[in-house]
Amino acid sequence: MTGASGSIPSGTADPSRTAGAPQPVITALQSALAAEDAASYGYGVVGARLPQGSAEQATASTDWVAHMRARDQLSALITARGATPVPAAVAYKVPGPVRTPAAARALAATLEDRVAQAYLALVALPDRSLRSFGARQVRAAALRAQAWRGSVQAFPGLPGTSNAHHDN
Amino acid sequence: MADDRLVPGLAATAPARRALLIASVAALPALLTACRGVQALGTPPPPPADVDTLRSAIEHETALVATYAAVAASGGSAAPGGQAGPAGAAAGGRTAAALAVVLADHRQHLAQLSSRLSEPAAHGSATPTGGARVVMTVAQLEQAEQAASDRLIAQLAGLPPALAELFASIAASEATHVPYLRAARRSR
Repeated sequence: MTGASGSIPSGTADPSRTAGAPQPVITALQSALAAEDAASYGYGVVGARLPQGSAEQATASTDWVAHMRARDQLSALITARGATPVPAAVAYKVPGPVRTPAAARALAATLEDRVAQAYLALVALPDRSLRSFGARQVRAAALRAQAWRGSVQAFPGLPGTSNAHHDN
Repeated sequence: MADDRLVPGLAATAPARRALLIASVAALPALLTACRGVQALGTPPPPPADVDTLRSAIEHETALVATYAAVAASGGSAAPGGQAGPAGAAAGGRTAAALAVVLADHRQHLAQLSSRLSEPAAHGSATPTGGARVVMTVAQLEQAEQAASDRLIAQLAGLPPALAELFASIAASEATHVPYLRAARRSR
């Protein structure tokens, strides 16, 4: 995938991107890394569509930094397990056109939903520390999504459950 | 004509039902013997730790539902600043709406958790009345949400994967209730 453009993942890994390590742990970590890479790219799009110098743009910048840090953490976790972190794509397709601040906020929330979903796969692993790390990252992503959306979900990151958004 | 068809049908089923009841009573001694047989096997083993954890989560979620229901029953809105009195003591449409949304989330959490327990929960499946609950301020509700989120994350170790995912998702949802309620409280 290096040098190619990718689409923003929906929380599942492409097995061909897992550096020859088919273990569920590496697969889940690579999926989370792919979601973080996509979010890091996506926040660049989000920030560019928010009013220059606004508090929202500052929040987008803070969130982008959080994703970059998480990306570094995941890369370290993958390397420590003897696998190679899959490099980020040069560019990612975003779900739709982002021409307005409202579309930018919606994209940020969508990015966070996908990050939350990817981290839930870490929670499903038996490794105690990865499970705790994953749960805290699901929570962090849900909090960022709540801030962008202004609404809450009953089951962040959990597909197949009722997740109607409630405006505040 | 319709009545002509229905009445004979009813008359025919009544004796059959009586026969079934009698047969059930006749079978009672055998059933009681069977129960004694189960008791003779000894004290059943304690439930696995994850069942206890799930039961505990159901009880906490039930308490949250009861707390929010009590707030809704008392007026469903926040005291100014969330500090001066119970959450239901003063009017505030936006806070009341937010409290209703959060209550709906907790009801969904409770339903999902209860559905993972194969036996009926002692309290979890009952509709909480909340009659004896202390009505909290919104600020106290925010603290309860944070504590609930932290508790669920602390309980993840040892849970089956699907249950761990549910706990983590609910923990995330409950954490988001904190800023959600705070925003509603401060917008009044």
